[in-house]
Amino acid sequence: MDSLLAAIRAAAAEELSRGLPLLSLRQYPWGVGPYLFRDSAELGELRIEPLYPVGKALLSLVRARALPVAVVARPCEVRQLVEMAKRQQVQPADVRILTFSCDSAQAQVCRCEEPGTTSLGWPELVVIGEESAQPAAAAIALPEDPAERRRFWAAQFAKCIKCYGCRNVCPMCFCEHCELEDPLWVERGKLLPGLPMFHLIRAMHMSARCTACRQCEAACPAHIPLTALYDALRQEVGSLLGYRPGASLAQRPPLSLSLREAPMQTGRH
Amino acid sequence: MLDFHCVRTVCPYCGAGCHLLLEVLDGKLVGTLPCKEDPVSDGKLCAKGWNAWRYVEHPERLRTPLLRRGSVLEPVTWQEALEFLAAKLWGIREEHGPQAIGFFASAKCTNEENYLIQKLARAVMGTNNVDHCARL
Repeated sequence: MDSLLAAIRAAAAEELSRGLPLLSLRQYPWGVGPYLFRDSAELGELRIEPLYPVGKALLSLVRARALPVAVVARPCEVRQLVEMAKRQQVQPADVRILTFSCDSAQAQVCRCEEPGTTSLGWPELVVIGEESAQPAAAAIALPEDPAERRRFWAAQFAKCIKCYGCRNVCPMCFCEHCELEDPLWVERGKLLPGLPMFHLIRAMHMSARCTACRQCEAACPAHIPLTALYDALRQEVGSLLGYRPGASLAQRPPLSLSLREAPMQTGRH
Repeated sequence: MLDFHCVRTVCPYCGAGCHLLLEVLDGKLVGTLPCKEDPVSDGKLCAKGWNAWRYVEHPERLRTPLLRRGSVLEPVTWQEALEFLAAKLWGIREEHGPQAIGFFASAKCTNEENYLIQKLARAVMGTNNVDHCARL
């Protein structure tokens, strides 16, 4: 870990010397959080843990037109950048990626099937360190019987306090209009009704976007295993449509239309 | 040159006191994140915590005390507001006694601030009428 961190700092110093600011995590006096490095003297404070959604911070920089920029990104975050680029959130030419393989312990924590790095067709991507991780299984144990499984999810959704934390923390949730704030689907001021539209809409929208960074699950105060749902949908999209989120910059997303872009006949739109 | 950094703070909304990170871009708040190193929140926030940063630059945020004169709320200085308040409280105390006054503290304040308000109630005004917004 120490040698990996040293290698990342060395690579980061190179980016700074080329005049590129670098987005990563920093050890502040109060703890770790996202930070835009511009001074190589501060790189001793560069950290890669705990896992904060770097892609989320990158979108703030993109909106402020603070480009070009270099970013230290884990493999799941690189895949997020790939999906963002396909949806016109970032231009690949504007973002230079420094990436590294997560280790096996981290892969276990994240239930990560793809902890290793790949180039994915990103124009400027630097791989640091060695590929050391053993992939972990994404699946969690769910009831086999459909009726039982339905009861399981109903109980999970009933715990939701509608904090919107899953949506807020997600680097892939960048839509200007969020269907989860549309009273047509999600009633304001009320907790979730029996029909779990909130979670199913989000799951649907994640099906060709989610790269399993697990930030939403970590942020969920109700401990709902959200990504078990997204993992299942991603698998369906993979087997039915041959699409894996973040796998390649060239491949077009199969579900790129939102309901807003293709309005349903509800009488409201 | 653009600056982007985070500031760790405590959510002002309730007594749980979850830590959160404020994302600052060129001196402006642009967002918030749960604090993953905070043992209280365990890196999670509720709906209030996620939105606590939004009032900081809200156009309807009160930035000065307002004093009602007739039917109009007029902006006044803190000095003027506190003098008005102190005179009113002393007047009520003299006319009706300390039991006519109650003090309501807040979960949004620190322990120390809540200590101070009960001290003001008991030692200065002479009343035990102290309560808290969590019971309202």
